[in-house]
Amino acid sequence: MQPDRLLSADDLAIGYASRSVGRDLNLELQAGEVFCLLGPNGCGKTTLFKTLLGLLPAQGGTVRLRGTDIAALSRAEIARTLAYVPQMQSSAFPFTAEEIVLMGRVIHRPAFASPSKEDRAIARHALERLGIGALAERDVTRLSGGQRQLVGIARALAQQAALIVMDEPTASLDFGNQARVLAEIRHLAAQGVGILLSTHDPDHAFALASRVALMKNGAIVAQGNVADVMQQERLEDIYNVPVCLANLPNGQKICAPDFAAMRPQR
Amino acid sequence: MTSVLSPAHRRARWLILLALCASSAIAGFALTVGAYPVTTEAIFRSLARLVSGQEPGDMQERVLMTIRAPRVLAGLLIGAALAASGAAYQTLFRNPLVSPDVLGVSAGAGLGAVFGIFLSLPIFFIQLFAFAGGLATVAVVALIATSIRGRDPVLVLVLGGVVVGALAGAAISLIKILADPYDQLPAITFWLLGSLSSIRQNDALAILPAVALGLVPLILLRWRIDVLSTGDEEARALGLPAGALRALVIACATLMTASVVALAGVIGWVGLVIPHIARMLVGPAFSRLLPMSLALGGGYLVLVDTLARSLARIETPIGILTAIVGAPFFIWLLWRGRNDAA
Repeated sequence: MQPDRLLSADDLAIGYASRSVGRDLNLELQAGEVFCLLGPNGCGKTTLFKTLLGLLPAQGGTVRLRGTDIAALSRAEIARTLAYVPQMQSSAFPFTAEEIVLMGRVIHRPAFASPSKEDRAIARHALERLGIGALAERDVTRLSGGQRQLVGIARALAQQAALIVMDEPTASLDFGNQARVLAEIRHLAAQGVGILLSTHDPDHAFALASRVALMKNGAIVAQGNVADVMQQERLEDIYNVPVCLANLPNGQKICAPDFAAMRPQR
Repeated sequence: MTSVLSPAHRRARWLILLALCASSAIAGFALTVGAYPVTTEAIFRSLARLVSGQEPGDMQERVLMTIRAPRVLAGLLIGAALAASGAAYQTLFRNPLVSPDVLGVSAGAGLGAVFGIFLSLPIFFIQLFAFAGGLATVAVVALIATSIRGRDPVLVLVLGGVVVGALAGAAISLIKILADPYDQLPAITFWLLGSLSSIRQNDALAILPAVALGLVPLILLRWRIDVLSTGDEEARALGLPAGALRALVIACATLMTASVVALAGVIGWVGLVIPHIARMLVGPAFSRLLPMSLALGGGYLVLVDTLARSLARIETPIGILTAIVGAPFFIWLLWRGRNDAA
């Protein structure tokens, strides 16, 4: 076994006791890489992530964290290696952004403790790394969707885990906020933060990831380097629409639906 | 390790101190008010005698030491305990509109007490029944919640509490029909509306250990309770055993509520209204919300109880007054809208 294998799934079956979502899933993530799970809505990305995080029990196969079966680990042990940024950040109460980020520090302190001075410094630093230091004292329920998403990522940073798992970090954000959140994630990735994220938008995979897995109907149909895996036919297959791939003048690669090749379906 | 306090924290600290002073002032005032007026000098005289271990001197001092002071102290304890358990339930269920009654605690404790009155048992057993009834109801609700899987656990708990609470209410109605209308029924009715009128010398001391037992874990786990308020999944992802922690916090809050109901009957609305006001003043972080709720709750209940015993020539059940204050407040909360409601 390679020492740098951080997270792996072997013949994993995901879903619930009454409903299977996917099976025979195999994945391998190394420390420090940015890995993107790409697939249409409803293909099982969120269920897979929750199973990888141990939040849902595997219906078959195993998830291994640094080689140990995740079912044998405590929540605190998992949280030291994996941080989670859920899709919808919603707080029932008007905590400040700093208080939310401080929650990422809870496993690093004894059971009966309050956040220490050091925790506050770490929380502030995490907010500043994402360019939202000025929001520290603001009430999160009054922040925009994009700002809330960045607060969630800052909390994951403060947790100081080896890998941050982001479930559709740009879901329900508008064009500008999507771009801003993606740019911050790119910036973190460039600093060597390990990231596993899901998205339904191929452009996000092009923008962020070094490796990618394509998912369709609860199965992983291809995985590997972005350049090898993200081929026109494969993308057309998982989304069931004709697509065009193109290189922009700045070297950025994009994917768009090929409207000229599409007939209205009725 | 010291922590650097933000301006909001510092402000919260002063507000909590202010609330403590206000509650103390209310308690001091409440000692002087009543059918038999007591002067401020008599209070200090009694205090001096208490310190030096002497027996109370004149009539004023005897009223103070045997009736007035025990009642005011019990009021402080009851209000603080109800507000603290309300704050815990609200944070835990991620809903600023829930209260200690939400898991059927009050209804269950009420049923136990009413059954005790129906059997014409002495007051000690009525209190014991109330306590057991409250705990048993929550145990049944927890059992329902753990046996129904695959649904939002918090939702199942709350709905289970509503259902079991309604059942307990039906059982109370049945006992009321069967009860002796001249002797037992008035006692039952009075008890279900709550009253501090039967509290004597050491009653408050009797429930103090149970209240303390419930309160200490809430103080110790203050930060983790904040994390629990993000929901089961996020709390687990942040590294906490959310299910076990939630069970512990519910057990603590329930213990406090049931002890209070055993002493003074069902006093509604305090556990809903006070934590809410506290949250408006110091924010949602439990490390500030809990002390603020304790301080405000104690003062509020003593104030309402003083009104209850001095508004009319006969004593008004305190539950009626807390409802008169609480219901419009609740409507105001709904009117302000969900986004501002905290």
